Amino acid sequence: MGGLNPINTSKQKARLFIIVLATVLVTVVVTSVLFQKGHEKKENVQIITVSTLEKIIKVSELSTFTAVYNGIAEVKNKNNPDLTDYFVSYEARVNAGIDFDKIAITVDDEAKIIKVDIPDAYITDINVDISSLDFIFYNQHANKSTITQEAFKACEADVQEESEKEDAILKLAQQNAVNVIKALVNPIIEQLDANYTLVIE
Amino acid sequence: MKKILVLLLTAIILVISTSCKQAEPEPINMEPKVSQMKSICELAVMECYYHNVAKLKEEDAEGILWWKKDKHFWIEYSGIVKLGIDASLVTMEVNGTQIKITLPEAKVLGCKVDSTSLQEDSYIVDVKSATISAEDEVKAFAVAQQQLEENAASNRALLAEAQQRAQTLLEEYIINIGNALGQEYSIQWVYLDSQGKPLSSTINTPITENEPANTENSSN
Repeated sequence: MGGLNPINTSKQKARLFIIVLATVLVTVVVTSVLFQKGHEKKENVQIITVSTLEKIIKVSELSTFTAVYNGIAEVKNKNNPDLTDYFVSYEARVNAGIDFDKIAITVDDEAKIIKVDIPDAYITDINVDISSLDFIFYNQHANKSTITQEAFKACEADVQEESEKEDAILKLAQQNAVNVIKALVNPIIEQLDANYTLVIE
Repeated sequence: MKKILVLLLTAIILVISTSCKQAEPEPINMEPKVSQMKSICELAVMECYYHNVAKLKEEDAEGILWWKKDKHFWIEYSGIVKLGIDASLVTMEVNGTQIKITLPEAKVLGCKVDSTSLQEDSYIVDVKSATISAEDEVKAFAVAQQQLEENAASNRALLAEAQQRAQTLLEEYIINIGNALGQEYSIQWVYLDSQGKPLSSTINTPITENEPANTENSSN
């Protein structure tokens, strides 16, 4: 007769349906497991982020460092610049620092590296104490009542010129800035995820 | 057949509902630690460039009777002074969200004259001065070394800055721990003198991420 047995047909349909359903089930399970793993990983790394680190690092009152520059300025004779009128000693403070707004932070979650790029230090402020001036005269005629103002200007010019020439002031400001950033960041990453390494450049 | 279908559908719904449930973040195990505070204090040490002038005057160094001359000269030199607080004296007591921190005075932790900064033009000799010998210049270097330390130790502004730097870094540390935990800490600062005895105390309450701390002072 060649006609299909209705019982066999319904059994085959049922088997097919089960196979499709099982495939869907396996797909759903695998997808959900992968989704959950990815989600968990994301939860862990969200703690150490660039914005969190920016908030930790940008403490403006820690951006400048003081150097003491007690120096001697030489004042030449106006009519004969080969001759010295007097030497004047002064006490000054030189502030050097870095611009914390220019700090660049990157976080490499794969390599577990936090990289902080700090800008070059620069002289931010110079302050000469006018009451500290003391003189050695080579030309007694130069010792007039107006001398303090002239000497003070000479001291300001001298400390500006000398401190800009002196690499050690800027190098120490840079080193102090590195130490401040280490002091701010290291304790936090040690407690949040000790696998991270801080690199400051 | 229907039973199998119902079982499978139930299984699917269960899997989907469990997978869609947000993974609960693990509680963060953080707390202020004394060991970390000591490390912060060590990093808070300020290395300060110090350019100084040593002024030397020796009366009646040359000549006889009323024909005497003084030795009078200045020397310019540079050095590095380390200023900071003694980390071993920093202590902390945590009582819930109340933290009491003892902070010693800043002091000179080391200083060194840069011998290369002493050159021929570092010496400014008064025209009326007696002759300056090589021996005087050697003596002047020793005086410079001693003066550098004395000068730094008496520079109250610089020492206060070093102490303030340490305090700010410790305060930031507590704020950052608090932010990570979602807690607000208040800090009582107990300042110690050079002998390690309490001088005065300050209470900062409360600390939040964006607000400056309120401060109350009290002296002992």
